[in-house]
Amino acid sequence: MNFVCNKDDRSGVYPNAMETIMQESVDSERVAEWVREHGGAVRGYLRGIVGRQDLIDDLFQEVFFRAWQGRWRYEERGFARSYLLQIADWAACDRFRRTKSETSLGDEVWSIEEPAATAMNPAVLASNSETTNQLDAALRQLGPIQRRALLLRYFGQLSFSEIAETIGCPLNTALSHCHRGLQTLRKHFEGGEP
Amino acid sequence: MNEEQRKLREIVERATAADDFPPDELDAEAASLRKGWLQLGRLIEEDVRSGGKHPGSRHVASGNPSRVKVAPPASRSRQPKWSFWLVAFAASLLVAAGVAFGLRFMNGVHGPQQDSLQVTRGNDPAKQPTEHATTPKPESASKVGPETQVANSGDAMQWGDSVDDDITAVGQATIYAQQDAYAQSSGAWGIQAGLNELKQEMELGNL
Repeated sequence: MNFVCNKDDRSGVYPNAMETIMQESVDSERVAEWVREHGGAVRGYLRGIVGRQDLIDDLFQEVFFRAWQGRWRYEERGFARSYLLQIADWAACDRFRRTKSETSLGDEVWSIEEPAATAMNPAVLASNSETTNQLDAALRQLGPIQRRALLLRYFGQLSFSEIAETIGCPLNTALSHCHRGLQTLRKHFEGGEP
Repeated sequence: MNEEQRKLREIVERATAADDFPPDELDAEAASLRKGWLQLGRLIEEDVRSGGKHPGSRHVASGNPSRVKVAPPASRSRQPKWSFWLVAFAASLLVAAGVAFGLRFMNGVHGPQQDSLQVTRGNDPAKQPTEHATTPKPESASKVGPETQVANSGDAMQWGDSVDDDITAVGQATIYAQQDAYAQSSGAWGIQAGLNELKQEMELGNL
């Protein structure tokens, strides 16, 4: 793994107040740097997993809040993105577990709840919408685990061992999910539904 | 990890690698898989550039637009019904308990204290400094309350009566009664003893 957990508690790590304050400042800067450098990847991953913009915003904040809470246990090894993406994956899965009993509103209600932006150029809007629709169509072809595995690989460049650990399956299973997902994407982009 | 798994890992790693591989370094399967991977990456990058805030993006999570799920307001409004009645019941219990406690408190404060106040006013001149410190006027004497009149009438004791004589008399009467009781019990004991003696003599044949 690229990061380890320090089992010491907070009081044991920083014995006096001045050190604690200085460490707080360092930690704040580090989390701010995480947001700057890896915020896009985290948002992209969440967008691929949950899709809905309101959920993405909520989960994005939750990821960095959890990262801030866990900063005492984090030791920098230079791979913060994989750490953040794992938190994002846990947060997204946790959210899906909690929202199982929800029901569909349908597109008509959504068009009322989330009206289309009118400030953009219609041509740009149409182009963006086309891209988004293509991406959505491609991701819809993937199973949930395939999607998680491939997006973790894309946004975090996680090794397959890390992906297997994040998803919670054996390495060979993670490899199989990725392979089948890639085959599905190939068939989809070649023109036909798999 | 056997050979097949190692090969699978190599194919997937190469197909999804961040670095650009020359096509001749990839085998046929890895190259074909990488095309799809790069196409997906292109779409993601364009979507990120466009902000990804389009109506279609919300369908990705469930994989099917018909499965997009949002909590309906109706289900939220159903939940508080029973809790509302529970809270209302608890509130009514609290109010009833408060009223009961208040009534008891009122009775405890006004009832007994009023009585004791009446007794005090009726019997103890020390508690009535205004009436005894100054010369009572005929009007004020005629304004004595009904409870005071009741307390002063009949055989009720007056302040300054000699209670000691009564106590002494009661004490002596008590002593006399005790002596009578002892005498009666001793008499009964003597009769019983005599009867026992007669019985013994009859058994011995003396009589």
